[in-house]
Amino acid sequence: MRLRTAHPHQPAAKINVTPLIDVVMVLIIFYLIVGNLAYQRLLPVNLPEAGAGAAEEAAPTLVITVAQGPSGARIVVEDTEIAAVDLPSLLRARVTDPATASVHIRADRALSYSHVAPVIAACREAGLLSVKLVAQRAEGVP
Amino acid sequence: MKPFRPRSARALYEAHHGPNMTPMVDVVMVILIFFMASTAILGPEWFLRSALPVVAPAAADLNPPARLHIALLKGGVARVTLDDQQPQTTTTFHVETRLRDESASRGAANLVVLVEPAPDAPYDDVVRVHEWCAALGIAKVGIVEPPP
Repeated sequence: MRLRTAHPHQPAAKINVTPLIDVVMVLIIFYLIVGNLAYQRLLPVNLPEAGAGAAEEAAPTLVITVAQGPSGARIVVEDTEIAAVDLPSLLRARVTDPATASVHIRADRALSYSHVAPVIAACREAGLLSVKLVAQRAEGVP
Repeated sequence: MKPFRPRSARALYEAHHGPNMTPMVDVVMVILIFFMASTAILGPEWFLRSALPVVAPAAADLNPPARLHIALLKGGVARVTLDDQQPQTTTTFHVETRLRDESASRGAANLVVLVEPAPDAPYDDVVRVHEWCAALGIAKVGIVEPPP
């Protein structure tokens, strides 16, 4: 006796996940690009070069930029310029856990330490245990 | 005349010739994401950790680490003091040699480096000292304020 299979020429119904994967990957790329652009939005400064250091693994709590301005140094927190006297109160407001906070200081290499000292002093006053000085990787350093 | 007969979906599927691009697109995107992510994580920058020591009551430590105090002055001049010894005036670039010697003799873990930049000292020198310490594996590095 001949047995008939149901729908012999039709493949089993299944969900095609390929378009889903493609769309998800496009979204991931989009967010990676947006994240990079957001980081590059920081005020550009001529960072000191260094041949050694640590690569940052976690996002910083705060990024403080000290750049050369037409009349002295400019202190920029994230993307907002701020006076040195207002820095301690801003740090106290933004840094909730000083023991684990990661504050990056991006200062211009041509500045003297007197321009960076108020930032260091404000961090110390806010109870931070350490800061991270940002340096440009020297050429040829992997 | 033969009547017009529309093709079934299966017939259309089988009629589609040419390579399947989907796996290639997926692989290319995975590679792209890998390189973008590695670039974002590594970045073009180094981060040099600097402690912000505060004055605290002295703790009873039978074997305290050696304390190398480096005062950075204007014009590439530095004054280096080891523990309670007499300070030695040198150039900033000789500080690296001193750090290397102390690190080799005592071990990087048994050395505390305190950087005290003068207001008119170049910030670049401050980063340079931190860089040397990072290269030598000295983890206990901090910036101290000059005494009032």
